[in-house]
Amino acid sequence: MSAQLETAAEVIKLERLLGLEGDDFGFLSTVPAEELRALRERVTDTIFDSGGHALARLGAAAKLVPSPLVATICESSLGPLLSARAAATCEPAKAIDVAKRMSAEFLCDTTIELDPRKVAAIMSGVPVELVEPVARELGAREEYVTMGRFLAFVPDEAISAAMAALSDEALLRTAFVLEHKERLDDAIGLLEPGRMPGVLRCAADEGLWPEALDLIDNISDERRASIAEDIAGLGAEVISGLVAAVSAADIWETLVPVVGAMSDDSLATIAPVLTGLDPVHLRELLEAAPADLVAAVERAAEQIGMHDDFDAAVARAGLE
Amino acid sequence: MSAARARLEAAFGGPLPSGLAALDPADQERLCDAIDATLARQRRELAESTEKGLDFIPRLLRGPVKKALFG
Repeated sequence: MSAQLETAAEVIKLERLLGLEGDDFGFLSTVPAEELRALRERVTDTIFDSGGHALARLGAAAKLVPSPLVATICESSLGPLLSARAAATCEPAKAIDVAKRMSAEFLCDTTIELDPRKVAAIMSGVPVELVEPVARELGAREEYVTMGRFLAFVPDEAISAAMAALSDEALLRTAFVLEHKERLDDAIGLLEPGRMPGVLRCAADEGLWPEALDLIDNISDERRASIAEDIAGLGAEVISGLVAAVSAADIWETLVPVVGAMSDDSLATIAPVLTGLDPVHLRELLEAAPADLVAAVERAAEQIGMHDDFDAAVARAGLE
Repeated sequence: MSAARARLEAAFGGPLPSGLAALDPADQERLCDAIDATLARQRRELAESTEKGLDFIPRLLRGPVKKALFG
């Protein structure tokens, strides 16, 4: 797993928590991800624990009022911030009943203000028909951090609905900041068949290879092998772009396992591309790859009659 | 200990781990300023929302709701 990418994802999450955009906290790129996560969780606790007593009473008061009226009061008067805080003190069944009566837009506003750790019981019971429109709205608003926090707490069928509602770009950006990446493998398994090649092409078109490779880095060997085959089939231009992006970000540790997961046939498919790589990129790749993988690529080049071309490319790269 | 580091330790809730401790004091200040601004904004918005929320409760329910909220 790339420490550099983990830190980058944590910086994005901290910036979102503090209402900042872009590269405001670029200076945090040297800080280990676990330190940033600890700081973010501490700040989140401080924010969400303030006013807890009054909010608990507000949650208790909601019990006395019919759900349609609570939903109207929330939308017309309390606003998303207070509604979100009060939800954490409500009985889950009541909170879900109220949420069903809110507009998707307001529910989206409120979701942004929730601390999913404090509403885990609500999240685990949220019906799919509520998740899908909110996921669509969050995706449209580019609220990837919010989505990434929530997908860690919703049931599998809700993840599946959310993934289907997201664009390929939103899916990649959400996966990058997903709170519990151990859930990524299941989530990717829930994607509709045949979607991954489009997601990979999106990574190429939108400059999201680091996000895509981070995703691939966090899934099982079996799924990685399947995606590696998809990558091999993307064509020379896309693969060269992928290698250039990896070189620019210096995240070879995320690409090498992908190449390593390719079948012999796929290695034979990409051998001409590797042979034609920029010599600097080829050198970096071969230096990062273990000896047995380099040997496998060499065998693949030989298999398609390109052994001499491969040797010449290696020589141009300054390697023997 | 610099003032910036002391502020960040307070926000972190204890001694800083090596990466955060090694930040430039000016960057530690920026981080603390952003955290403080967020906390202040949230407190202000919560107070305003609570004030507004009670006005909207129907007259019939205002008594029980107020009792639940304020005892």
